[in-house]
Amino acid sequence: MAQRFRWTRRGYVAELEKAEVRLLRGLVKDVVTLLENRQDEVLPETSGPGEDAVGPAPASQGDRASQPAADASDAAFWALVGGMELDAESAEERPAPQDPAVARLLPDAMPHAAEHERTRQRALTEDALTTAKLDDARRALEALRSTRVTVPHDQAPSFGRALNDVRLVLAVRLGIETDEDARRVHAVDDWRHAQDVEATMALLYNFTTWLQETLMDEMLSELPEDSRETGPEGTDA
Amino acid sequence: MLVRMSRPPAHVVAPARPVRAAHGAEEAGGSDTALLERPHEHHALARPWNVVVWNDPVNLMSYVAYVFRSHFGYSAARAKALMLEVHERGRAVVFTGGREVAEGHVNAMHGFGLWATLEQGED
Repeated sequence: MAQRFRWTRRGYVAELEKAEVRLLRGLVKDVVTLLENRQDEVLPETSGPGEDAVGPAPASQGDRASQPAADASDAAFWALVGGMELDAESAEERPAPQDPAVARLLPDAMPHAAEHERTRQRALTEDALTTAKLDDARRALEALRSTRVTVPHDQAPSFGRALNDVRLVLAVRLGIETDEDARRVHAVDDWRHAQDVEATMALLYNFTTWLQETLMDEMLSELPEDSRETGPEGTDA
Repeated sequence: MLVRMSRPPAHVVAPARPVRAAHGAEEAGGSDTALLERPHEHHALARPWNVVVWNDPVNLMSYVAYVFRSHFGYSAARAKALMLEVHERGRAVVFTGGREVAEGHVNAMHGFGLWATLEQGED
């Protein structure tokens, strides 16, 4: 029986069954594959296919204990926040992914804008988003090497994002579009029903949901009760 | 009152080419005035941009609240109010400011897996 995430000095720790870790790794690898395929698809013709195949995380991830602090390990994510240059004149255009699961991972920022503006916006932002998500997923694979899943505090946001991406992909495959759909899937809770693909996916979705919820529960309790009250926004929304 | 909206409706389109130029720094919330004054930002772009987060049946309420608190630095109460607004009304404006800063936040929301869009404020 899986044990929920708990705060410890060394990080957030969950105890999972062997099968659970194996399944979860498989789901994270699926996210990696979807994103890498998208990278290959949009790659300029001159370059070859992506070098990082599914499997062991790249060597640069190395020993987790020697990882630099949050700033560096979250570099791809922060590049995503601050790195985009608005260069509308020279920007190329890029259509949205065909696969709805990939489209959910890499959504349109301006779905209501004119086609050319939408595709231009995507051309400007998609690569950084893909890189950040691959980073999260590969780091999660590192943490999922043991049944005692240890997520260092500074990597918890990244792990949370990776779990969320797994859920987003499963949700698309399960056709969860409304709260009613979500309730239907949530009702599947007996592993004896894991005979067909649909029920198995629903169980995996619910398991990942539970795991993410327990992590968020611990992470929320660690946030200062009232951090910067005003935030970056000066006026009320 | 549960609004089930799996994707943004089409009618919230921001006009592509705004004509009003008078608004600027004051309406941007005061935090991005330097960006608004950048030379390549023509007057047509001076109206503030909104980061809108849409309801979806997948993202956990606890997760959304966590994202609002940790990324924007909002208080627990503020984050919860915004999260409930998303959940009950289908969408909420979670940030208003200059275009480039707003774009950065939309990208971050996508990094977290939230359904966020960028739209120009009406007035």
